[in-house]
Amino acid sequence: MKPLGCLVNACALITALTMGALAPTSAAAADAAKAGTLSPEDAQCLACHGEEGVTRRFGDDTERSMRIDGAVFAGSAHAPIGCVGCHGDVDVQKHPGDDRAASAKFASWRAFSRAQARSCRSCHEPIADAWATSAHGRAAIEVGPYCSSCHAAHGVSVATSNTRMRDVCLGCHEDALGAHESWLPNTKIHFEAVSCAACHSPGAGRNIELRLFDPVARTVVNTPSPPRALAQAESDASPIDANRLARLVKGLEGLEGTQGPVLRGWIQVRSPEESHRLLEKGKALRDCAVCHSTKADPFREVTLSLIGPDGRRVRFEAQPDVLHNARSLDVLSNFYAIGGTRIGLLDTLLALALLAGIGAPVLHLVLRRVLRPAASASHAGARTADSSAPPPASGKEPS
Amino acid sequence: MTRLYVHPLAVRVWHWINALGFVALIVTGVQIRYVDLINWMTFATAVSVHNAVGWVLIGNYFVWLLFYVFTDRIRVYHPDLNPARQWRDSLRQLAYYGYGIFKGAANPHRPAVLRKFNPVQGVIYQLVMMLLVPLQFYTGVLLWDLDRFAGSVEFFGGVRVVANVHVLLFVFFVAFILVHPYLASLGHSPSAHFRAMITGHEEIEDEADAQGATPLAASVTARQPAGHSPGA
Repeated sequence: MKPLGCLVNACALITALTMGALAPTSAAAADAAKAGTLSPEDAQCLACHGEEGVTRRFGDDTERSMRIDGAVFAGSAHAPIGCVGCHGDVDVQKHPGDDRAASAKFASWRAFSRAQARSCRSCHEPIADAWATSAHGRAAIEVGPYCSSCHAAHGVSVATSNTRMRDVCLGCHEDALGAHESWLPNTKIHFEAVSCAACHSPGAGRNIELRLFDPVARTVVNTPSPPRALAQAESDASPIDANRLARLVKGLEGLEGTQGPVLRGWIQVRSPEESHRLLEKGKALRDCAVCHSTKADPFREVTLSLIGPDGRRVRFEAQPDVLHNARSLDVLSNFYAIGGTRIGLLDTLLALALLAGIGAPVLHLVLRRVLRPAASASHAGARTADSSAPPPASGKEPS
Repeated sequence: MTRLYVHPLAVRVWHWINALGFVALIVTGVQIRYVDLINWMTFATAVSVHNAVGWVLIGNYFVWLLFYVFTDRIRVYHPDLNPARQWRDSLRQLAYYGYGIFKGAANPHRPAVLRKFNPVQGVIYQLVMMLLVPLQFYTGVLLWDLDRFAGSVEFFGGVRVVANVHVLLFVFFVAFILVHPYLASLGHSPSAHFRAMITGHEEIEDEADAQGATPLAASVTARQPAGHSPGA
């Protein structure tokens, strides 16, 4: 058993990683994850659990594989806390025990998952509590998902793809795309740019994360950013403005495996607790105005997210103006939310068009009214004086 | 007064559908873009109406296009093939609106069946109908289904470019829709051109009726020798 302090550190590490904390994790933990090595204790567990055919029987007479892919686990965010970090209740002296005892302990796979969820809560308490109040949490006893249903417990990785969790949602909610298409314009684009929780956790605060996007492959770029771009992002602690953002993206040119990467915004729930407080679909946001407005909260908090050399996301605060600045036309060419990211310059042009469209006719009309009578009187006088002269040629052109 | 049949039925139908449609598109477009400032209708309603009206106007555009392509009426849009004369007549027309009209000058343009637009109008309308309106429809269709037209959107430079071109043209059409009725009120009577777009017949003042108006050139430049028509 690892010392308690180490376990606490490990739990803190998991919490930090899962909550998407901006600060890098502890060097020791990062090194361990980077090395991808397992402790002798973990290797001992995997001596059996790494093999095919390791199963467990449950009270309902079902059987499930208990095999763990050692390589996947070694690369996961949970590797630093090792097997006992979550399975500390296993008595090595009595493990594995006989089938009968195991099946008596858990009536079903769901009962087993429920028990394991308590283990998750020991580190991720705020998230677990939020989940418990969610539609998923309330339905969990019958049909709803537990932690491991969405998060592969032994393969948890730092979030690097903005569609990974969406795909997990769609894994169960298979008809979601069709259901949304019946009322949501550009459904697929919404699915590419908005996290499920952004609407299905209606009370949550939201923000925008600018991520590198390959417009040809239409995927988020998850390869480490060139050191030059990272250095540019780190060079100044102040929020990134539109000019600096443009320079920074220029530094990303030639990024491996992409064709001219651009940034695309990902609208997400700000905190992991709120992202787990998902409500029933009837309570989800359906009012487009919540987001399609410059005053909407996603557009007031913007971060730039790059991939560091260790594969982890590094986030930098950006000025919300980058979404509205004409300078961003190029670097944010693949991100535009009607109403939400409108360019201020065009608003000014519209105001001028209104001013000219109303002002010019009114001014013209006033001038006609003021000057025309005087001109008519003057012409009438001239015609009277010239009545003996030949009539002037018509001012109209021949047709 | 001489009555000339200058607006065939197809053109009048196209015109009024287009006019109402553009007003609807502008109203819903403003609602869509400024949902934080305006609350005429819900965003979803505005989008639905905007899309539906957009499709109607695209169909209506082809009514206009096919009518002009398959009749000799297309000539109303042709500019003067003599650039010097086109330029000179355009300047004269602008001078009329900017100066001569205040002095009681006669409109230098005298409509005819195949020459119903003045020189400036002809050029601007051709630009509007052959470039700006199609471009507005094109960008609108791309925005209507970004996924279906992802290739075109990317070719165009991305959704932000498409959307902002659409908005830039919207700004132009807002100004156009405000100025257009005013210019249409500058006929021999304020309602003359409006009536013409309903009946199809434009009333043209006879030479004698126009005698009271000062020739524009006489207002703008030094008086010409007697008998020298400014249009000659």
